[in-house]
Amino acid sequence: MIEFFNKTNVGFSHLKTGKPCQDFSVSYHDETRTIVAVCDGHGSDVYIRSDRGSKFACQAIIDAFKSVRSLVLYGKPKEQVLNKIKMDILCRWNALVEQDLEQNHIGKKEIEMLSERDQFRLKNNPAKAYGTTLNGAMILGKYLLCVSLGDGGIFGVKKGVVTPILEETSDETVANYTYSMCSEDAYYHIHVDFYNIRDYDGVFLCTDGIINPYQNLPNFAKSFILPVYTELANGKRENVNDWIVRLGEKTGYGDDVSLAVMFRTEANRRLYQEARYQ
Amino acid sequence: MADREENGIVRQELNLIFIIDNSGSMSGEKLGAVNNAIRDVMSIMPEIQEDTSEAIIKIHALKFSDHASWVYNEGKTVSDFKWADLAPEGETNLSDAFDKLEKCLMKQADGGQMPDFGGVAPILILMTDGLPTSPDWEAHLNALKKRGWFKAALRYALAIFIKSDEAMNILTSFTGNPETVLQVYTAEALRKIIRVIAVTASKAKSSSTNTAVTDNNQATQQQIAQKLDEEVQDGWN
Repeated sequence: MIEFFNKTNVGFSHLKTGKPCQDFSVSYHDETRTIVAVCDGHGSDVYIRSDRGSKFACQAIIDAFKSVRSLVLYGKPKEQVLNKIKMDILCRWNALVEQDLEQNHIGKKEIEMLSERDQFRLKNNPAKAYGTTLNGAMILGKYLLCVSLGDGGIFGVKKGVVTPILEETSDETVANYTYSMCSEDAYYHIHVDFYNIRDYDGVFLCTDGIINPYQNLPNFAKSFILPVYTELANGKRENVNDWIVRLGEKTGYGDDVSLAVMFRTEANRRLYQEARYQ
Repeated sequence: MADREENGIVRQELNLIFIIDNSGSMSGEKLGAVNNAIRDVMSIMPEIQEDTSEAIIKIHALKFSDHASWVYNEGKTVSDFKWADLAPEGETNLSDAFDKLEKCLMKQADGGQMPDFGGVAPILILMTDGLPTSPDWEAHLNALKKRGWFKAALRYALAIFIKSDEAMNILTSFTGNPETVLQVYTAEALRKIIRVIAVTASKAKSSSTNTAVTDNNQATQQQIAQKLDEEVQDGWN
């Protein structure tokens, strides 16, 4: 049986400035699949609708993943399947952005506070207003399908060991540089792959507001992922909920925070026992 | 989960990196001025750190002559960084300095000094008085330029008593912007410039971790230029 969880909370820097929460997270479950996604709208001034951008990215992941049939995952050459999923997500996101732009034109008032340079950037590419990262995962049959673009990350847990999935190895994305759905070359930076779900007890998706305060993987695994996993395995969702709120509003770096988790309950009991005995 | 330490949450690090030419040509007034300037900056940094709750300032110093070497193997906190005067020696192996800097600007998991997750763009201040004696400096700079942390860094170069266009061009290649290469002709000017850059950049960088790096660097450069103008109006040369 699969359990899932997702939570987003505004960061204290946005609370101070009155900016909206630019993160979005979502989960979906039916009789065949479970899907979770976390997306992080960019924070700089020019990204005036990035709160909508991250919501659209979550929607694009859900819709694209819902259209994937398990047969497809082993019926065709892998690269062809993955490229199709990648293109599908990108097209769906762009369609949602275009639709929003048609229904809600970017007006003078919306951009009057921006610098001339940023106004020019938006005129050249209105989709920039919606800039966002994305991270999504789906359990479908025996498969775990993952997609990632930009910062934040997906982490797999197996027997208490945490490993990154679709890790961005580029040296380009440091400080708060990140790849974005609004970039012309977004397609080339979206990573998609699928795995055997048996290789993981659970999967964590986090925006960088959650990850960055822990600075490195061993600390993040020990101080966040495994304790959160243990809480969820024991049905203490409220504790995790409170943790995410505190991380956003008090203890983190002030950025918005989003977490989504899927885990196999039977595997998780073992993990909990291991954690308890440590 | 009551406080950051309990949670495993650590404060951001802001890396302030001095890259100092201590070759033979720097002997006398020039290196003396650099030594005094660093000591002067360090006298004010505790105050800056105290005002900065968002980040821990880590200070690094890389000296280069025949070879480049770090004064400390890792960045030191403001209270732990003790400056021992550099002595002039040898030639100007800028290539080795770029190599050592490149390794420093890698993630900790890959053997560097930068955090694996997140982090604040570092501040790099290169100080030299002339042309490198290592002919392959450009290849080493090109390798350095590929590092994400170098691209993100706020970069300044101080041209100490330099008048040649060729030397200025090399420093501009390092900073990527002629406006962040500053010519210095007196010890007092050097002291004030280093102080303005180090202090203003540390304050700006450590308090605005959620804005885009390029926007933040531009805003910081503007603040530094404004402060330098104010100092010039007060008369320092």
